[in-house]
Amino acid sequence: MKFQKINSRLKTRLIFFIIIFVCFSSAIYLISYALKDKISFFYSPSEMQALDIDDKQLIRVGGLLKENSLRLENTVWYFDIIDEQEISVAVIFEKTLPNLVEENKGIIVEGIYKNNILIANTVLAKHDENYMPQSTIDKMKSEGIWRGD
Amino acid sequence: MLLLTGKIFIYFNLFLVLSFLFLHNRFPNFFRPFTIRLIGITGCIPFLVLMLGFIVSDFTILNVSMNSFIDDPIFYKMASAWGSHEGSILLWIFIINLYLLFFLITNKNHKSIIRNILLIEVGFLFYVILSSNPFIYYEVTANHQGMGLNPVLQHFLFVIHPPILFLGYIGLIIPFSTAVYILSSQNFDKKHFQTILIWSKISWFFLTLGIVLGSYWAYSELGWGGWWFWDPVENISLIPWLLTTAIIHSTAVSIKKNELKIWSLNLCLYAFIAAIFGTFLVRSNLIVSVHSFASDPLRGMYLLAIVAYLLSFAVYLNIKSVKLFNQDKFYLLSRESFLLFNNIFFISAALTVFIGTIYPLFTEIIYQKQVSVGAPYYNVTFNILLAPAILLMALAPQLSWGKSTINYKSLWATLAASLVVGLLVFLIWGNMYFSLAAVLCFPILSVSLFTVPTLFKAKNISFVSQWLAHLSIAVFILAAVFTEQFDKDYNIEFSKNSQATQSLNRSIDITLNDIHESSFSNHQKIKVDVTINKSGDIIQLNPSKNIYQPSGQVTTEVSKKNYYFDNFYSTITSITESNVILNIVYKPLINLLWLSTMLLILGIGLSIFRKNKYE
Repeated sequence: MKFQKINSRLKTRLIFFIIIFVCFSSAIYLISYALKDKISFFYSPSEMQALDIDDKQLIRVGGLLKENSLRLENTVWYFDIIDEQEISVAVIFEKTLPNLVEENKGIIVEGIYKNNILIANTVLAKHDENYMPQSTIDKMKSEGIWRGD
Repeated sequence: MLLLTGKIFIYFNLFLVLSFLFLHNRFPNFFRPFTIRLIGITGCIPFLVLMLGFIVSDFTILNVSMNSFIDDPIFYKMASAWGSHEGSILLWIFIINLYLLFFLITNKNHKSIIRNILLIEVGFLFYVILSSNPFIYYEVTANHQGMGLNPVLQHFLFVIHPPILFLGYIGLIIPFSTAVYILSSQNFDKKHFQTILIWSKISWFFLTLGIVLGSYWAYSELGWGGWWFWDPVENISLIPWLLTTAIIHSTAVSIKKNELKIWSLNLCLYAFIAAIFGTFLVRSNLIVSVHSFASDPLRGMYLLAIVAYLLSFAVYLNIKSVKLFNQDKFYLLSRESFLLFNNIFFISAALTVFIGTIYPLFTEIIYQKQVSVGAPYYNVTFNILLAPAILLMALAPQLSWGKSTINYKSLWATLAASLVVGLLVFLIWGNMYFSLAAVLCFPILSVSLFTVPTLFKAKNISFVSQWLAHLSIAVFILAAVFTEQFDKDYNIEFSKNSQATQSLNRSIDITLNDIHESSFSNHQKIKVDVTINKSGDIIQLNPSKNIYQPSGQVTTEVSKKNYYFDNFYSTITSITESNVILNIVYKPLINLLWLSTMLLILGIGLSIFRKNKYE
């Protein structure tokens, strides 16, 4: 009788352990699978030039918005992202650009790279408490009200 | 004047806290509830002083100068108090003391728990004094009107979202302190678990509300990635939420069945640590986030030190209680075992979010390669791991405590019915993700429907809150998948001087009515009036561009209008001499999503007021 009781407890515990094991190991499997295939890489324009990028993969590109490159044609934005090596990538974006996007300022774009053009689906706008566009800082400096740095 | 008052009270509070920590054993008579209340009140004052500084625009305080403008509306002036890093850490201390004062009302004489709370507060006080002191003197020049609050933050949610989210994070301090007390004293009294349950529910309530408000704000603001973006800042709020959800479910077992005690206590320890660790991640700028804060590596180091400090408590207590592990015994088919499963799924989900959030740090340090982890990763890991939990959610409340039985016939019938529903959904909408969501959610929906009579018979409000919360999760999943799968995006160009109508598709026409400019205290507004005609129903939209003083910064303001459960979302892409380009997004069922989160919050809120049936 006593033996049977222990036995059934053992069985229940074994089942618990199996469930916990299956759950955690599948979590780890999923994580490792997703980290291999499902993350988007973050490139600078010069890194992109050096690599052969699969046109199905979502990538993120960060750099400065090139001066005099931002223009709007038939409801589509065209602009270039440039980095310190003066290498740039052409971007097209079909939606409204978020606040704080400006020429000569940092920008991060997510999209698909196809035929040497980055087709963006998201343009990200950072917003920390001190963040201001460079032109605004310049304007404030010229008016003598800038107190930063 | 205010500057000095704020400074003095920070140091005075630190003095009181330290003297309590060092002397309360030697002079127990001196440290009565009155003294502790004094500690709580002096801890609240510095933040209130800072806020007063913002209200009266006292620009001799550097923080006020940097984050406020003399003509900002009064609400934004008040909210500017937490607009900067320094102010928000002071708000953090304010809320710790608020919780301390409320905790005193219910547990007057629990010095050990109060000591644990103060042990944590002292870490934050040093943090403020050493690296984030807002009370720094600023030499005011003539005509100084302040730098102005970042216009992007000028939104009514900025006034309520941060304090509510902080109430959620810091609410976990009481479960943490209580768990530390229980584990160190080995006093597994039920009433302490009840303390944990009630305070983690309060924290859960604020955390859920805070996350939803943040999500709504990100949805309302352009370029913040919509209602959920898997951005690090969003993730680090989700991790404590998932762990708190696990705490609520496992503490119920601890109280009712006297089991899973060590498990629940450990969850309390790590949930609070996760909240602080998240703050460290985003405040140190180690991880790139859209919603970032001004960075300073030193601040990050201090927060890391606080995390290490808390972690040392937790690890010490883990080692101490290791022999108590593995004493639980219960039946496989019982409510408690299903609550354990819930815990396992939620903890694994929290783990995947955690790994996804810190993974970019690893690749940068080890491979010197920058990556970003976004929605595709979480769709695979998080969603798949929580899918079985959704199915169990329908079944678990049907089981009784102890040994339970299942009506296998109705179980198989429900599963078969949900497969049929999934197939039907696929035939109608032709979308695989939405039909999968329907398969997952159908069991909860049908169980909720069948238990409506029980809802009216139930003597205890706990059944109602559970019913609401589980139902709201199902509705949430359906709405979220639907809105993501079926949203539509349109770009329309209008010539500025003519009233014109354009068709978006067969059922939607859009007309440009008017463009006008207006002036406000701190900004100018250019507004475009358009009407949408959706199968005879007229919807007015007026997106605008604001030009702010003193910076001249231009912001794009979203205009949203509801159409039943759907939402039209419009922005001005550009406005020139001759034409206007608008972007209009149609988000179906997004309001059902917000409604379901409100139901969830209501359910959680109700559960706080339940009668205590475990006594």
